[in-house]
Amino acid sequence: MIEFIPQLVVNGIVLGSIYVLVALGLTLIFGIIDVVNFAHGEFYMIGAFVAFLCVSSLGLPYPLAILATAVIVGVFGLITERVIIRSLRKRNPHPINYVLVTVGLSTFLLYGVNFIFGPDLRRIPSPYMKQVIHYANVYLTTQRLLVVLVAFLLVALLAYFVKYSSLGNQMRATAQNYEAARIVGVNTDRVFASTFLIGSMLAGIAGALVGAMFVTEPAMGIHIIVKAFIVVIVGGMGSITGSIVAGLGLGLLETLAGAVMPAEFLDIIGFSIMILVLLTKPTGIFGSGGGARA
Amino acid sequence: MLDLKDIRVFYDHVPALRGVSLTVDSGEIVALIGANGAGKSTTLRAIQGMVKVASGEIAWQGQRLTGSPPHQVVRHGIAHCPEGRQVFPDMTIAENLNMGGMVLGDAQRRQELTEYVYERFPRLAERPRQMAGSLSGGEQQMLAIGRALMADPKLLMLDEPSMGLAPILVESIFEMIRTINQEGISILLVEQNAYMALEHSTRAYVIESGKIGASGLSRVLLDDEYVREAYLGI
Repeated sequence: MIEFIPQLVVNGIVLGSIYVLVALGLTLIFGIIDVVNFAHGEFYMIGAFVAFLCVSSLGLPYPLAILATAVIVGVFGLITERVIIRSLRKRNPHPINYVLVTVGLSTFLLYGVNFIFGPDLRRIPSPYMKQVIHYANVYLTTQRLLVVLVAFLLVALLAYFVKYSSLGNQMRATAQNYEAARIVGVNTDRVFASTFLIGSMLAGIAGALVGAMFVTEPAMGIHIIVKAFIVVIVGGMGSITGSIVAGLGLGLLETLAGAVMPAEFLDIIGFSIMILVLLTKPTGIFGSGGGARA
Repeated sequence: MLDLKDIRVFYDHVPALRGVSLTVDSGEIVALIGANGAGKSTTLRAIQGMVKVASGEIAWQGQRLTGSPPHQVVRHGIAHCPEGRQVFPDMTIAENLNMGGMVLGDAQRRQELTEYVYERFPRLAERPRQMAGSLSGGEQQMLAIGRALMADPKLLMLDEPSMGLAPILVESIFEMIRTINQEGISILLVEQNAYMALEHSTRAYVIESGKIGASGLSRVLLDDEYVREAYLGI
């Protein structure tokens, strides 16, 4: 049993990295725009499908397909922000309206993709699935290593961007005090659009990575979004650090628990932690009740 | 320099401003006094483009300003220090000031202004890395004024700068406003503390339920029987 632990930890980090990538976009959009994007899981699913088409139909090399996916899903996010979120904000910015439209968008995308591609399970052809690295008794495919590396890189980039770049500072300012941000001259419409763009790109990239490792199917967004919500709530809505810690933590816990309990019970772990956090510290471990922080 | 003509603003069909006209000339300190809810803050918000102006004209140095979004109004040289010290709580003092200077393209000018603000407010200069949210009320007010000055404004709009401050701080804030004005920045001052506002301004407008009731030289208004009774409690 003990000898499997290093392998389980590595698997847990891989799973956790995926949770982090998806949760980051969700928490960023919530922290800055104050919108819970229920369609975020579908952006991730679309990312997988876009990457699948790029590789299998266009014949792009997989790494290039990931980049193309980031751009395409990013643009898709921009359009969503402009067409749906922004017009709602200008006309009727009640929180329930955002819930209704993003839930609607989520359903539309899920059944739209299902209608076009069918519910079949696909897998993005990735050369990294065939390469296996091993050290002592830990084995992992290059694909899994890629997931961790990409997640690490994007998290570092995002943290640096939010803390030091001009647009990042404008994003933090908008999250902390919307009115004051407008007063000092932040173009908040542009900040919101950029936030949606970044969040969507993160989801799209995650989809392109997972769609090659597990399966690409229309319902894949539903599975991940539940976990992403748990991560965001446990880590604290709007907190980047919180999402990283809670995402990796949940991935590790689920993988380690998977060694001793049946897979169908694993989902209980996340929900139990979430309920516990909501009962004891409703703002989440790193949350302070709104606002994005590094 | 700033010219408001018959400005009307509605909040959900309820009139907040019912035809406000006022002017601020270069080098002036103009006070806008009135009771709670009379429309003082709304006037400033209308100038900045934070609320929709239903009718009327706002002109700034001969240019039409009506309908410009806030981020463009700042770039025209109108800075706004809002009511209740709206700082960025989880940013440091230095980061808050930097946000104030974001409209400046010129990094050198930004640096000069930062030094100027730190000189004006030595208490901010002592700890540029402290989080704004952990500052005292008076310090947050200084930071909010400093942040507005970072935009290199020609007109500074101050909304209730004395609110919630200890009397000794109120005095020093008003002195600061005078100094800033002497250095060439025009001031539009909104205050509930009518006495202090009239004491420290050149001209004043009295706003009552969204309309300008009285206006004139501040020292004249200070002796006006109606103003004394209604706003100075004398």
